[in-house]
Amino acid sequence: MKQKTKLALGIGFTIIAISCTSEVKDVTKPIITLHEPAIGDTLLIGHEAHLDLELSDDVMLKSYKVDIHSNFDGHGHAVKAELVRLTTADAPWSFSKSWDVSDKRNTDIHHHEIIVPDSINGSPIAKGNYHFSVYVTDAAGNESKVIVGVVVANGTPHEE
Amino acid sequence: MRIFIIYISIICINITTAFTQNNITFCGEITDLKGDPLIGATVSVNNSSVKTNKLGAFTFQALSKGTIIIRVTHSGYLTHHDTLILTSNQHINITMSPLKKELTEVIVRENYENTRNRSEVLSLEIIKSEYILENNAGNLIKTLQQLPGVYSMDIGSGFSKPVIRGMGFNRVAVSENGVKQEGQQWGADHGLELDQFNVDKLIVHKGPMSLQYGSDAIGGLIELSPAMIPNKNKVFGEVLTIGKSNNNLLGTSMMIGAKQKRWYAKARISEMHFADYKVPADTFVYLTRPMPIYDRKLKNTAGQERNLAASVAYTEAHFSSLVTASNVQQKVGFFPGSHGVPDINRLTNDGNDRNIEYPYSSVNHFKIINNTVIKRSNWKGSIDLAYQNNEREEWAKFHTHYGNQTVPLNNPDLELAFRLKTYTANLKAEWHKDSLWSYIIGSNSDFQQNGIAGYSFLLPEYNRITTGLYTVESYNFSSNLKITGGLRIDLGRIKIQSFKDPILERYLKDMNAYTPVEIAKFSQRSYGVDKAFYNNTWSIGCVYNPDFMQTYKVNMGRSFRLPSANELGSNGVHHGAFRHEQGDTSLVSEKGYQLDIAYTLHKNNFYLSVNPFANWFSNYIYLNPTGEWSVLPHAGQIYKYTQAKAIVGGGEMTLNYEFHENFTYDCGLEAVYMQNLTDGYPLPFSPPLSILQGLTWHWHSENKLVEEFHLKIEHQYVSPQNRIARNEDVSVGYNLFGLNINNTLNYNNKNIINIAFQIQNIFDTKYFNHLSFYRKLNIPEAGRNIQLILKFPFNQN
Repeated sequence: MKQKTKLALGIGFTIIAISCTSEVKDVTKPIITLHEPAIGDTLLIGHEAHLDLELSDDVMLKSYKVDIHSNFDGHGHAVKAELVRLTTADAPWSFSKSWDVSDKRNTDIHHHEIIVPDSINGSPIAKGNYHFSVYVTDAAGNESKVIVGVVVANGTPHEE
Repeated sequence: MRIFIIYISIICINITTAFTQNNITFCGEITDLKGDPLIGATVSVNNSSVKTNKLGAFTFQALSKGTIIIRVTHSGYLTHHDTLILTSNQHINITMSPLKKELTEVIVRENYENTRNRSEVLSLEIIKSEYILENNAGNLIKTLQQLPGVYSMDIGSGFSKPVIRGMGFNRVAVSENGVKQEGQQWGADHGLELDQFNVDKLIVHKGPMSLQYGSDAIGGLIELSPAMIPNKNKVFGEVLTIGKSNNNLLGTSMMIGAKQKRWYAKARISEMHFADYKVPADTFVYLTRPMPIYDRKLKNTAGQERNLAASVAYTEAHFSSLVTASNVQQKVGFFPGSHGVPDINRLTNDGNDRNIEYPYSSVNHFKIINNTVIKRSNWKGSIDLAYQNNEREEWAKFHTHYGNQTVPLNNPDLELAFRLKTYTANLKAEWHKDSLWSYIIGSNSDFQQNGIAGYSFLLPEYNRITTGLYTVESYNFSSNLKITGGLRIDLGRIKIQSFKDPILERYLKDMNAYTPVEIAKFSQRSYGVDKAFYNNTWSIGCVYNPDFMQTYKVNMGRSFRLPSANELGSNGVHHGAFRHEQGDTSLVSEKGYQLDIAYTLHKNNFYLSVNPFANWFSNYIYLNPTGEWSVLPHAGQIYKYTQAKAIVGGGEMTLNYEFHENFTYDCGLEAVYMQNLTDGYPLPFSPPLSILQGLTWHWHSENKLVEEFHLKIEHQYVSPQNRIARNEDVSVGYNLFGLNINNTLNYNNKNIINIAFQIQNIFDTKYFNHLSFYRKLNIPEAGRNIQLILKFPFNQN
C-alpha cells in the first residue's frame, strides 16, 4: 500500500509539473510586410530611398529599425565574383535608425527619410551590394526582421 | 602551483613510508565475469569477514605470515574458496561466476549498476561501452539522449552538447577520471570534445553534483571512469569500424592494451570522416522566404574527428597511480547561413559533399590526468592532477562591416580563437570508520587562463581561480537505510580584461549619427571585471531499501554556479546567434535548491523507476530581450544577461518488462517544466516531453556461432513545444521509428565479432529538435540513416 501511495505521488508530481500552465504570455512575433525596397531594387546615390512597409502585432507594437550596410564580401563565405566590391577606394555606407510605433497594433509606414549620400566624410560612397534590413519589436520584446539584398548605384529616379 | 605540487609530493612520500610496517595487509577486488565490481560480497579470511565496498574492494589488516583460507560469497554467485600463503602484503583480484547459467538474466540485473543505484542517494544512470556500441546514435551525447532525463543539443550531424533535465551549457559538467572537462561549453556551437569509443564506464548523475564537483555541476554531471584492469597478465585489444549512410561517415577505432603484473597500459586511436548530412526537405524557410537545400544535402556540414588516448597504470596493494593523456581533434563546417544571412548564391551545390569550406570550426582538446590512490584498511586517499588545453578556432573568409578594418597579416581568415588552459588539483580522503559511518573530505582547485585571437571579437581574455572544500558523511542506520549528507564552501575569483574596439569606435563616429556617450558604450566590447565569489553548498539525502526489490530515495540540497566570462563581460554581436548579447558585471552566483525523489521496483522480470524532481533558482541567469536597439550592424535589440527567480520541475519514468523469455518491452518518459518566475515566461531551451519505447526480441545460445541476438523496434514520440521564451520558435511534435540489431558471433568459444546494425528515422521523417543549433534557421534534423558497427575484440574476456 505504502509503495502504491508513493508511486502515485511520484506520477502525480510529474503530471502536475507538466500540466500546470501559467498565464499565457505574449510570444507572438510582430509581422513585417516590406513592399519597398524589394529584393534586388536599386537605391540611387544622392536620392531618397523609398520605404514602404506594413507592421502589425497581436498585442502592441513598439519600435522599428532600418539597418543598411554593405554586403560586398558575402560575410565570410566563398562567393561569386559579382558580389565583390566594385571600387576599393570608396567608402562603404552604413545606416541605422529607429522609429517609435508604440501604442499601435497595425501601422503603414511610408516615408523618404533615408537618403543615400554621395560621399562619406569626403570619400565617394561605395557602389555595390548592400543588405537592407528592417527590424521590429513589440511591447513584450518579441522581434522580427526582414532582410533584402539591394544595389547602391548611380542613376536617375523614374517617375512614379 | 609548483609549491602546491611539492607539498603534495611530500604528503605522498610520508604516506607511502607509513606503510612499511610489519603487519601484513591482504586486500583485493571482487568482480563479476564482465569485470564489474561486486558490491556487498562477503569475504572471509580466518573466521573474520568483511563486505566489499562500492568499488568491490576489501581489506584485511594485521594478518600474520602463513596460510590463510579465503572464502567469497555473494547471492547469485558460486562461492569462491582459495588457500593462499601470505609472506608479504598481497593484493588479489577474484572473479565470481554466476550460480546457474539459466539465471543469467536475473544476475545481470543484480549487478554493479543495480547495487550502485541502491547505495547512492542521487538518481543516476550507469552506462558501459557495450551500451554505446549497441545504441550508438552518432556521437556520445546523442547516444546518451536515449536515457530518460538526458537531451542532446546538436550542432549538425557530428557533434552535440549535453542537456540534463533542461540544464545545458555551463550547467552540466563532464568529468573524466574525476577531473572536470573545461572547454567553451558556454557557446551555442560548441560540441563536447570526447572520443565516444574511448568510454569504458559512464555515469549520468541527474541533478546537482555541486557538492563534490563545485560550480557548473548545478544541472548534472556526466562522469567517465577508467576501465577495470584485467586480472590476468595479457595483451588484448579491439578493432572497430563504423559506417553511416546519412552523412557517408566512415570511421575506425583501434585499441591495444597489456597487463603485466603491476603494470597496465592501454592506447587507442579513433578517426572519423563524414560528408554533408541529408535532410528530408528540399527547402527551408528563412525569414518567411523559402531557400533551397540542393540534393537534400545540407551544404558544408561535413566534418572529421581524430582522437588519440593512452594510459599507463601501476597498481599494488596499497597504491595505484594512473596517467591518462588524450587529444581530441574535431573539425566541422557550418552551414552557410548559420553565420550570416543565407544567400542563394552561397547555398548552391559546390559539387563536393566532403569538403569543409569556410566557415568552419576546429577544436583541439588536450588533456593529461594523473590519479593516484593510496589505500589502507579502512581509509583511502586520492589525488587527481590535471592539465587541459582547449583550443577552439572559428575560420571564415575575412569579412567586416567596418570599412576601416584591414586584413590581418597572419591568419587573415581566422575569425575567432579561444585558448583555454585549465590546471586542476583535487584531493580526497575517504574514511570508513566502521560498518556504520563513513566520511569523505576533499578539495577541488582549478586555475584557468583564456586567451583569444582572430579578426573578430566575442569572448574576452580572462583568468579564473576557484577552490572548494567539502565533506560528505554517510551513516547506515540499518542494513537497508542509509543517510548521506555534506557541506561545501567555495571561493572563486575571475579577472576579465576590458577591451575597447578602436575600429568599431571609428565606424560609429563615421556614421555621424551617435553621441560620444553612445559611441563609448557600444565600442566597449568587454567590461573589465575583477570579482570574487563565495558560495556554500549543502546536500542531504537518504536511500531506503525495504527489501531486495524496492529502493526509495530522497535528496535535497543547495547548489551554485559562477557566472561565466561571457555572462559577466561580453558586449557585442554573437556571430552564431546574430544577436547583440550584453554581459552584466553585477551578476552574482546562480543558486539553486533542489528536491529529488526516486522509487525503483525490481520484481522478477519487471522493472519500474519513477523519478520526480523540482529545482528552485533564486537567480537563474538568462538572456533577456531589453527592447533597446543595438547600433551594431546585423543586430536587432540588445539581449542582456539577467537574473531571475525560476523553477524547473519534472521527472522521468522507466519501465522494463520481460513478458516472455525472448521478448522485452521497455519504455522511458521524460518531462521538464521550466518557468521564469520573475517575468512569467518559460525559460529558453525548454525540452519537450518525450516517450521512448522499444520491443526487443532476444535470443541467447551457448557454444554456438551466434551467442547473442537482439532485434529491437523503437518508437519515440516527442510532444510539440509551445512553451517558449520570447524570440524562440515553437516546435511541432513528431514520431520517429528505428530498428536495432545486435549480434555477437563466437568461434571456438571466443567472442570474435560484435555487430551493431541500426536504421534510424526509418520513415525519413522531417522533424525539428527544439534544442538544436540549426533549429533557429528552420533546418530539419537528419533523415533516414543506416548504420553498421563491427567490433573485433581479441583476448578481451
